[in-house]
Amino acid sequence: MDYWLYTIEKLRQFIIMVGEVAYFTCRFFREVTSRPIEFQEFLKQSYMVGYKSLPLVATTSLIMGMVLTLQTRPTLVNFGAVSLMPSMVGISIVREIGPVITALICAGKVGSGIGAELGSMRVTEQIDAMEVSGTNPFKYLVVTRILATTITLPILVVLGDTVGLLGSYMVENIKGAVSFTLFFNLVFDYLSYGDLIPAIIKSFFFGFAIGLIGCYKGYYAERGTAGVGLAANSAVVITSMLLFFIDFLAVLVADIFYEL
Amino acid sequence: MLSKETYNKDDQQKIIEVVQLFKKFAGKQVLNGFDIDLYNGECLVVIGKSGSGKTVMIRCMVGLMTGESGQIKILDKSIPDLDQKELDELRLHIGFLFQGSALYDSMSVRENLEFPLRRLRKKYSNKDAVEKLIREVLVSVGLEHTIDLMPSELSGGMKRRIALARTLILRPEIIFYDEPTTGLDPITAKEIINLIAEVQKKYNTTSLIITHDLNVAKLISNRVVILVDGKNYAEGTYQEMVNSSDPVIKAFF
Ligand SMILES: Nc1ncnc2c1ncn2[C@@H]1O[C@H](COP(=O)(O)OP(=O)(O)O)[C@@H](O)[C@H]1O
Ligand SMILES: [Mg+2]
Repeated sequence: MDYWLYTIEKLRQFIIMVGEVAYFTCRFFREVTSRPIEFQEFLKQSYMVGYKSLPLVATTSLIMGMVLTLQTRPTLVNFGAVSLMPSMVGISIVREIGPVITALICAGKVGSGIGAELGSMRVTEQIDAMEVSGTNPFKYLVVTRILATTITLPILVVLGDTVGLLGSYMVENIKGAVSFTLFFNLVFDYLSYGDLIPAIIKSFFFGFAIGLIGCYKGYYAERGTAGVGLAANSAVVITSMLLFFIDFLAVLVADIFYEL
Repeated sequence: MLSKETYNKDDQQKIIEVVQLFKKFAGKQVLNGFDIDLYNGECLVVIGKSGSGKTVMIRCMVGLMTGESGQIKILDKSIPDLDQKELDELRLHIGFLFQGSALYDSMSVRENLEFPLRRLRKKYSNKDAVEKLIREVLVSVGLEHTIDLMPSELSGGMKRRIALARTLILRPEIIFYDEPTTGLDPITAKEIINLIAEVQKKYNTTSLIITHDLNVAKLISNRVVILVDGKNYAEGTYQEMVNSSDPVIKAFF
């Protein structure tokens, strides 16, 4: 009995959240074009997002590229198809692993950071202070951050892809003595714009989701210091779920285009 | 200190008028028909227990929250009926000192003080003029040397002063103070009270101070209102309150 009440309550909260996020999104699109444009704050935030996450993204991508190569190599050797290695790794990194890993890392690093920052600004009345001093805090804080993550994430993804491929090349070079030119020739032989473009488009949505949920959770943080931790934590959890959901939708859509 | 004796509110024009303000949260009635009048140049202190809805009341007054019903008029404008632009316009005349100072953590003291000037970009496009204004207001709170520090490097009392400086920089005619002395040691609290009195005299502001610190009421109030159960329970000068025989009032004094 209690369990049912609990489930219904959770469901109710979930539906409310979906509604609020939808409202938040609409407000973003309404205010993103209105003046004044907080360009400086946007640049600062973009720099912060890139600067904070680049080392992490590079490290994880490098390791992913190496692991992927190490693990698939023996199988391909058994089938005598080891020359397909670079193109196979290239396609999986560019189409799927690069964007998803980068986005997840950024959800953890940037999303939680935004949630905590805006959450503490809410709790200590800094957002209210902005409001009474005549600066629209939604524009100044939220719009700039969502734009920053949306624009920066695809760039990070491209950098991450590159580092991942380099990692793969390093392993391939040691194990199979493939030259740099040959490796990347093989990679780009099979990669087409049809692989790259959908991945980049997907990354914009990933970036948007990271900024949106981080800002939403922080902006509506509950009163008290516990609210800040909760905002940061739930920003990461919800963003990660949302990223997989977006990824699934993106693959579905891309699949339709391949059929055409 | 203010010359309390010579202040006569009947000579003055009414600046703020709140009538029958109601506000509830999740079924809990916080404000229950609150009324208040504030006259030009007056310093009104509202006293109430923690959690009695003092902050909610002034947040409603500056449009940070909306009540369920009630009339709020500031400088002859009805707050609930204003659109965002008109509200921002009116807020130019109102200063608000937040309970925890609410300095922007990620900005230096200078940037904190510059922030309120953003909305008047055209008027304050001259960098030297802005710098001069910032120095001037910092001198008036006695903290000129902190201009390049971050808020995390300041003590609680200094934060409160910088927050006051940030409120003063646009020379508001009305200032709301949310518990200006709470969380400070008695000496620093006294300094803040003196500073408020100075500001009041120098710029002839109208002040609404909410607090549970009796010293504030004792030292600078023209009039005291006691908030109990979301309503104004009693009203009068500090001396009248002290002399009252009502047990509810006595509990405060
Ligand atoms: N945003 C809010 N959401 C829910 N309850 C609130 C909110 N703001 C204030 N309250 C409640 O209203 C009451 C009065 O709060 P407040 O005005 O902050 O008290 P104080 O007189 O100490 O300033 C408290 O019981 C508080 O829990
Ligand atoms: Mg309060």
